[in-house]
Amino acid sequence: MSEGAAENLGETTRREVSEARAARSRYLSDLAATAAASRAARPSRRGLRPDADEEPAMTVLTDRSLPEESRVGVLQRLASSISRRAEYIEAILAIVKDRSDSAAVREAALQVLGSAAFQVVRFRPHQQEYDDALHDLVADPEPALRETAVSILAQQHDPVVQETLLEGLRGDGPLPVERERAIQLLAEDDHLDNLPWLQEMYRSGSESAREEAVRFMGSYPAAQTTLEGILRDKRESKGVRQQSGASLRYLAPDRFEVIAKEISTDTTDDPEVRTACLSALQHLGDTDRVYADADFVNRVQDVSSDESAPQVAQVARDLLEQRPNP
Amino acid sequence: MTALESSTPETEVGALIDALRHLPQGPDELAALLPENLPMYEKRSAAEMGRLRGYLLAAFADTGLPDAALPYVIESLETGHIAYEVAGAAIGLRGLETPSVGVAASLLRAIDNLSGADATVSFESYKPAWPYAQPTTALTEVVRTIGHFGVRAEAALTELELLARQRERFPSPLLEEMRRVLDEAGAGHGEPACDAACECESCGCVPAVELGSDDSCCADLALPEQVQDHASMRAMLEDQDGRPESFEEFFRGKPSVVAFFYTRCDNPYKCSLTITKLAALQGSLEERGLAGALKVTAITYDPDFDLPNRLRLYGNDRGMQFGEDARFFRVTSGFQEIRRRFGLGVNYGPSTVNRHQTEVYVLDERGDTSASFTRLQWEVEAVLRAVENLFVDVELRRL
Repeated sequence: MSEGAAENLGETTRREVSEARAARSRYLSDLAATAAASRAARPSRRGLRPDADEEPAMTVLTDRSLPEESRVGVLQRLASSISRRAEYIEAILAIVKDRSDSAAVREAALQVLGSAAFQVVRFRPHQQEYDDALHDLVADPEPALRETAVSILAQQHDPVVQETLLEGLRGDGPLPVERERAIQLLAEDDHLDNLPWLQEMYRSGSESAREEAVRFMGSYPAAQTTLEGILRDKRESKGVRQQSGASLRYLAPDRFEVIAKEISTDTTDDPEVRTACLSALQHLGDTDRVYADADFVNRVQDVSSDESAPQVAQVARDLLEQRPNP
Repeated sequence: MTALESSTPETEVGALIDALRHLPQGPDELAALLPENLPMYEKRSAAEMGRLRGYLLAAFADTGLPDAALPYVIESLETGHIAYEVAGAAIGLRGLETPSVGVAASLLRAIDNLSGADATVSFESYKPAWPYAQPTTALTEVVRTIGHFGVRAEAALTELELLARQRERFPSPLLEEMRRVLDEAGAGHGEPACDAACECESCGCVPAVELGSDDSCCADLALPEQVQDHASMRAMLEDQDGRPESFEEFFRGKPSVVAFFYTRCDNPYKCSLTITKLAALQGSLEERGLAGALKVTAITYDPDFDLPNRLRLYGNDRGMQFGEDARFFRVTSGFQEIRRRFGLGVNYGPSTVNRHQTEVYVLDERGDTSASFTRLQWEVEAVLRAVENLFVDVELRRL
């Protein structure tokens, strides 16, 4: 870097630091003013320390009479540091649990707690109370809060939320989230009996839902035949077929190889699916075995000169060029 | 007892457990429900198995804990990673009249394992709805059990003193429970505890034993029913490199250590730890110059999913050095035969394993089981001793 460029960089950095300091100073000043007004208006709010030493952020955060954006602003500012402050975690947990508080503030509070929970060691003393709050939210009237809570718990393989989702899917109780979402969340745990739900989702879902269902089926050896059928199904969308190929390759690489060889050299099939199959055969799995299959290599040679499918032909030529001993 | 089948709804099993709590034959009939390989547990999900196990174990607090059930309680304390199961084990342990030294160690291990993974649970009924009327947590129950035994679990009380100061580690209600237990134990705390050296006739207690050690009274109880005859074993295996192998041929000619595991096991204190220890055992054998004299192997419980590349990666990631005598296998045919041969403590849900015990076997050069380390946590040193004993036996047979 030249001396001039270094000087410019230094100048830019100094300016940015100065601007950030000024912004922080303005924010703190505004916060202090808001907190002072809050204290003056309601000096003896329940649940708060009445002393004047209370931090402005805590005052603003817990004053439900203040505009949502002020409190959400405080939450956003606190996000990176609350795991070090037990009193803030407790205050934020109280906000999340309070169904009479603003939904926007509760959502922001839940998001902040979710981030703090990643600081596993620091958050450890609060983890159980946080999980309890999430369990409470599973039946919350706010759909967004329900969705977030159910997602977090399902990803932890929480048995209580898994049971709630299963009961909902069976029609034995209310479903806290959309049916498709419930199936996806249960599928996070491959020790559950998810295959029937995934098959339902595949039969009745949108294209993206079908793709998700097929992705999760990759954990179930019993889904092998279904995946083979989907990969071969020319009426199915390209995306879903390609995902079924990936899942089948994960589950039964030998079967994937057999079917991918058929599809990639089938001139009546979709060029994109054929290209994906050829690429997988060339780059993934047992490539030595692929090249050792003389019949397949001969068919790829035909494909490589097929002008009606130039994209497939190009990948076929690549595959032949990469052959160890052509 | 009511005939229980895999199709029996779990709530009915829960109701049966409740009924057995108050019957004279309750302890034995409840203990008879503990083996995970019973047909009634087939096709149930892992979550259902965890619920049933926790509820069943907790019932022993009411009936008294029979000897046959103790290894299962200790197993759940030592290797349980789900709060409900550990809580049930801690509650059930209170059915034990006199605790042993090993029990205190297991309770402390449960605290270690679940620190940061505790959860609110309830035993007010089978599968109660949230929010619970009588909530508790696994660690609360573990601490209460330490309190229940009081000075009879001296080692645990001493350690609890240290744990109660770790404010950054435990939630406030649990720290308060620890203080309460310590305060209540205060009067007698410090009296000598019963240990292995205790003259039991003079003090009137049951001798303390280290559960999980070679000479533990409970190690024998934990032994599964095994078919020792392997002459007709036709099972076929495939190793981590895709090479086929006959079970009978591979496990003949040299002694072997064989562990069972599966790569999708989500309990960090079971399969992952087993394979890590197996790799450590391999290292120890090498240090002692025994590497070539013994085969070190593992067989997956989940042969449909655990393809060779998965076996290889799982072993490599845990320090296994694969070679001719160090191989991981999946069974390509005859898995039921192997299940019967070892009396494997495993069962299956609709998709994969729903529950299993930890199990490691030492086989002699004929493929017969010479020692087994099942259910309770095994230590590398204990397996090494069994291997060395086997070598002595082999030499004696040659003479």
